[in-house]
Amino acid sequence: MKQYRFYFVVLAMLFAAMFYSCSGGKTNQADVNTELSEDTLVQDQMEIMLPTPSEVLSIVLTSGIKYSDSYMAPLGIEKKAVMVKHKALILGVYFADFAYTNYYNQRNASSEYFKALQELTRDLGIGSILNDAYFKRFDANLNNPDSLDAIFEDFSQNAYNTILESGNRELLSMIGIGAAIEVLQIGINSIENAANPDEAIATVIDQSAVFDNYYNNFIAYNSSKPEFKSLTEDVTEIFKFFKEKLSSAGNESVVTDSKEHFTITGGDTTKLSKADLAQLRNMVANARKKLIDLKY
Amino acid sequence: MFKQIILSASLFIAAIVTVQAQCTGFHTIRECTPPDISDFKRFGQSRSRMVEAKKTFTYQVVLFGGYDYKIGICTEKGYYPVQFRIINAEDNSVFYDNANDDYVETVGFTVEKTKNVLFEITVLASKKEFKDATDSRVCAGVAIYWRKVPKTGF
Repeated sequence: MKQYRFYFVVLAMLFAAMFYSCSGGKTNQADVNTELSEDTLVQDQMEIMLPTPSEVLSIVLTSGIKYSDSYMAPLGIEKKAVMVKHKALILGVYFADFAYTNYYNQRNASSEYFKALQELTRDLGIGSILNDAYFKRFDANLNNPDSLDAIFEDFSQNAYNTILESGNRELLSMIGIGAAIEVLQIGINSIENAANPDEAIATVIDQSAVFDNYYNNFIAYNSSKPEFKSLTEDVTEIFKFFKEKLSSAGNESVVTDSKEHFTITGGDTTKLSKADLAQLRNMVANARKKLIDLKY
Repeated sequence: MFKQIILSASLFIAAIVTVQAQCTGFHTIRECTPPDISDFKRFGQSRSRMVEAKKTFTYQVVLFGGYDYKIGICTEKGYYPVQFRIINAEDNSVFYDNANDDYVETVGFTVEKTKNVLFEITVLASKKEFKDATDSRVCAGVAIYWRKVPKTGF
């Protein structure tokens, strides 16, 4: 009888779990007010997507930009990080550095960053996103850059989606802001050795749209946390800089090319001056230094 | 007794994770894949999630300039059509609404300059009658593919 009672309790808990999960727990997202014409339609909530560091770097690293290991954060910070927030922020930084080494096929460096990522993800309880299977796939395709690109892209997307879908949105917001600052730092520093500096500066402007998503996602979860006061102030400064300096011309239009294709044209923004770029470089360098010194 | 508590707790957590993950990867199914994507790559901001029919789900993405995109929208059988809108995040102007296009499930477009846009998804399920609230919950997917705009000219 006792056994039946136990199984009954287990079944009851299973049903309770299913009921809970089907009811769709709400996430911390900003409300939006769009209304559709039909009365029965109701507005739900908004979610902010984070492009992976590898996707952003593929935009930022325009042709002619050379690899430099001085742009990456030093290894070993993962061993000094004790607090969860530091581990998450450094995971983001290393995630971007790992993407950078992979972009330039720097296998030795990539292998070192991979190990650091593994350690951090294990510590944060999300070790499943970086299992050895990926590394074996990397190793097996060392001489095939196209396959490596595809494996890395698969890994990047899988890592972000796994964290997102496992309900660790808050953690992803911290990892994301670490990655966003590191990618911005790599992008700005890469301008100095770009074959076409104007093209490289334009990609920094592109990064403002990416930073917008990362910033808003971070703020949605962390703006009221006292432990993130300093980081929030620093990233808000960068966010405001982009908003002030890069005003849109508002000249977007849609051109329909055929029945199933259209083009969104226009969307010009003002250009950054050298002084603006220097100011941005300082702000990013300051935030990045505090990140890797674990000062946040 | 301790073992029973541990087992129960494990089952409870497993059930939550399993049910919540049932829409994972929904956007990778064949129905969600747009045609002619041989030279396109899957874009990281593709998304699957459980939604409620007749409720609008919005998500903000970054579309990079100088790229072609192809998008496939999908949901479960019996819940079509799905309304899909692409909105300028700057001023809320609508770039595209598939309601003007007979609710087609795939569309292709090119973006000249990088921008933040909102994707709005509403599973309309116009021919469906719901027995209860859980019946209106359904998986929806947005599969995005991208490629650099090919250079033209001589």
